[in-house]
Amino acid sequence: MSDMTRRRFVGQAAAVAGAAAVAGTAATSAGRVAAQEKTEITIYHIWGTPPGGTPAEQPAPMTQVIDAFNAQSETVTLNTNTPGNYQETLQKTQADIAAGNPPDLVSVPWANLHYAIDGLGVRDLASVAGDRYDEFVASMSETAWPLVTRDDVVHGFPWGLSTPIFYYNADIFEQAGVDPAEAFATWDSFAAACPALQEAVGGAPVFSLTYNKDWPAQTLIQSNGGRVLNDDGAFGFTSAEAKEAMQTIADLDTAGFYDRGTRDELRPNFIAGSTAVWQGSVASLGGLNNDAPFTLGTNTWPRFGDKPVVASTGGSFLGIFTEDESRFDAVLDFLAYCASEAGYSLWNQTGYVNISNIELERLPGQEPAYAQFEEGLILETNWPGARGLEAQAVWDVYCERMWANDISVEEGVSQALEGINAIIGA
Amino acid sequence: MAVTSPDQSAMRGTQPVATNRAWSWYRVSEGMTPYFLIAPLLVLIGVFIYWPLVYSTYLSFFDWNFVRPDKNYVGWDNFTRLPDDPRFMRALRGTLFYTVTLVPLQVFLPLGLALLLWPIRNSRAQTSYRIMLFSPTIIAYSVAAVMWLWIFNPLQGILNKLLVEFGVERIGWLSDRDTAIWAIIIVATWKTLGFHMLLYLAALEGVPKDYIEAASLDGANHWQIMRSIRFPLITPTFFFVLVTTVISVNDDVFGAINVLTDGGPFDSTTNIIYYLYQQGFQFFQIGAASAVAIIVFAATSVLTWVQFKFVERHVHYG
Amino acid sequence: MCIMASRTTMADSHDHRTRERWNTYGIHVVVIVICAFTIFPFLWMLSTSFKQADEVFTKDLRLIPNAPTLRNFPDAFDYFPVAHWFWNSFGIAVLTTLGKLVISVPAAFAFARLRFRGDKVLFAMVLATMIVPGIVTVVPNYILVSNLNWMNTWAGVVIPSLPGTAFFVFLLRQNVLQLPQDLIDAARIDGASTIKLLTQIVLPNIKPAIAVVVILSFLGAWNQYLWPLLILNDFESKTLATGMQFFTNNAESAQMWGPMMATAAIATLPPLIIYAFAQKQIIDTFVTSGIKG
Repeated sequence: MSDMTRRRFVGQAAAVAGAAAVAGTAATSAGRVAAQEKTEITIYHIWGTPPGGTPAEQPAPMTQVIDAFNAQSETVTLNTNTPGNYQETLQKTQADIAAGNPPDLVSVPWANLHYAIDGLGVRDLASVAGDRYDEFVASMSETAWPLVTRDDVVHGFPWGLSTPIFYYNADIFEQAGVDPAEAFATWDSFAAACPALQEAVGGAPVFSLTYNKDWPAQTLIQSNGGRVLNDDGAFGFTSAEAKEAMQTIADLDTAGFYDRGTRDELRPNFIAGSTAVWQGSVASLGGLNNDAPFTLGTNTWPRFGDKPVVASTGGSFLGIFTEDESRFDAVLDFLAYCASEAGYSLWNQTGYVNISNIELERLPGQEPAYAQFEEGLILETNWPGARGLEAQAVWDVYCERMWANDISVEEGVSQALEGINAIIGA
Repeated sequence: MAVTSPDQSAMRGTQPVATNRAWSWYRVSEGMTPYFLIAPLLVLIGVFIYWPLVYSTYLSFFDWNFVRPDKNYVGWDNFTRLPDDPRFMRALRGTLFYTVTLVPLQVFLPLGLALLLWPIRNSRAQTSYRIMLFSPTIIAYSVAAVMWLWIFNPLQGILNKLLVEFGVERIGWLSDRDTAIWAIIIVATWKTLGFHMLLYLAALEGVPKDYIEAASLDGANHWQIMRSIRFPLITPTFFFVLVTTVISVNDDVFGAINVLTDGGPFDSTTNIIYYLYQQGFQFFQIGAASAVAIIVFAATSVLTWVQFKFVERHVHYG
Repeated sequence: MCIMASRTTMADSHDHRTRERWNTYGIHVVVIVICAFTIFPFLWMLSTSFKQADEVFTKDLRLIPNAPTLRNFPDAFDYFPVAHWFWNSFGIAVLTTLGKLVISVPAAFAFARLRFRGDKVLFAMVLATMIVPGIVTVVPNYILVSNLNWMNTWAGVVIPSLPGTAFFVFLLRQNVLQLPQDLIDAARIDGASTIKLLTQIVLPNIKPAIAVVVILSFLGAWNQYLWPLLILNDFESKTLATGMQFFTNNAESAQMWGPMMATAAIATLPPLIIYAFAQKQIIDTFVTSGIKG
């Protein structure tokens, strides 16, 4: 490590006129007289809350990674900020870029890749990594890189890759006499298992789908052979396959098995044992393992007959927004740490799929995610155009409405298409 | 606006009428002092209220996402696409609904309460009553919303637990499109009840005693006094409450919407304020947000003007 | 006959008094019911804040927990920087209050008692700001604060909030207008300058109104929501009002109702205490200066 530092230092010093050492340049805040000056960089991420337990007992895995990195680094201090959920993080990033004060690293959802490139000006990895580029590419699994690549240019560092899976309350299944493997085999068998499960939960709804409905909708449609957004850029959610997929949930709602609760109610209902099944991200696995007072089970999505489950990605990549070249090395140091065994093994506690090239033990319950990962994941829908975020919101609401039978699937998809076309200005 | 009241004249004894006397010590030229005294206020108002109005108007003709260095001129597009946007129309409908339901609830209901409390205004429990009734008003909207979020929880909240106790089926307060907006309205009403009631009580108390004495000497009973003297004299307060409520009612529920429903379910609880917030800070469409801001301002100004023109004539300034 | 007449009158008035007493009881009952509606959310919040997790998520209804705990309060401080949030709320509220006083009192005095060119127009311009809804100025002010690098600072929250003081200027002006003429005349005869007039004569005599402005400003700033939500993005720089929203928005913490209600309890205490002490003051000022026109 120190060898490379020296080599890089020589190279950098030639390029950056007047720059002091890699450590301790203008990056330090005004008025600080540090005995040992380290380059300070900032990261905005969303993983601030601990998955169960108090922070003192068990800080969030990302916090552990950052703390461990800071402890072992002699040249870099990484300051963190957790502004909130993805949208709030994006908002803060936006504000700071506009003020001329961009953060160095931000956890950007895969779904916002295009927006990060076109709207926020995220840097491409090559411009930051320089001659270390190949080293970085080799450090992470090659299945992960296409997700941050556009037009053959890599725009970020893949980090948190998740996929939607189903969680269930094994105790309730046992009580109802339902075999999970059988229940989750196909949507038909799932529907057949619901009545018994519903009795076991005292008449409450049996299952729920996560907060942003457009996310599970994508996996749902894809698993029936349809697409939300075709590779050629045309919208595919009006196809027969898509409609059939959406109708499946709508039918379960008619039967009273689907939980129409608000986003804040769904996970707590599951933890409290009031519903039997919760579809969530595999990234929540670590947290659920801690929180759930019952035996937690996981499963892949039910299939549509014989068709394979084609899941979407979830999570985020680390986008680099640094303007100041003298900080590039510090950023790269952190990324290298993330990809190292020391760093990644801490991160692996979350439940995010292991996309590094390091052999790490899988968490109990992660198997469904890996199964889906190996089948091949499709990148989250990147809604095109400057108003992509708005289009996504429109689609999200229509998904919610179709599933709750607030509008028929036929009407829903056609109105959604109209609305989205109007926004994107097709 | 008249400034004097009978009490004041009595204090001044035999001095001449207000207007003439008042001018006697105004100095025509005070030098620059007055301007120094009002400068900070005017500067701040100019920078943070008047300038934004101008700048918003300017921005509404552009397409900008706040970060890109260039802004694209789009003419009236930001305005013309609004009627075609179903989300905007839903926001408008929400705005109307909130205004039509909350204005009576926040203007008339507190008046009724004040009148109710009036006969017992001197009882010993009075202070405790006032503290209890005013308590919702003084806490933050988001804190209130969190409290009610817990109350509305479909499986663990107290409302549904009570319903189940009485054998009634649970209601999805915040997830059912028919009940969600009423949930917001309940929270909003709960929140402002005390403040407006207090204003009315103060107004009732502020009616000059001489009028009351004179009237009861003339043989008027309690109700007649209420109707012909107190009522007319609290119309300024009533008008004030009305005007400020109409202006602020949609602004106020923002906190409640943000915490409880985020505009949902299915955009059923959104209003034009929330639409603006989403456009500007969730979708980063600064131009569209500015266009909506201008529309809101225009609408508010018109509404206020209408109230002044048609309602104010009934106000007795005593 | 006289005796009989008086007995009838006494009986009549006795009935009348009884009816009045029943009326009064009736009113008290209704008021108590309304009070119950008003404070039951607080009670439920307090009840939950003393409950442990398993009692929170139980199927039955219990107001008084079987196994009460104080753990939620320190836990709340542990999960989230509630202490920071409290300090931020306090600092912002104090600064906003002072700022509003500093700009409003002199202006109210000037508009009330001094005559100068443009005084009517300028006062109208101040009053006119009352009809501008807050949301309308949010976007440009956000851009301005960002350009000034005031994001995540108290300055970014306080300074743009200061102009929202037209109502207070109006209230203070009313009070100054109602000061007795002799007082002013006497001071003028003594040769007091305008500034002296303001500080030594007017100020001490409008203390109740100033008290009201202080209380209402403080409460308003303490409870402010939208503006701090936009400006204070950093986790630790949030206020109690916006921090609460963070609590609910977050998937993992959304079920921690115990600590959440404990935080809510902490957030409601200062305003409640202030109001309990100051409520008479507030009403008195509204009565004397009034919204009479």
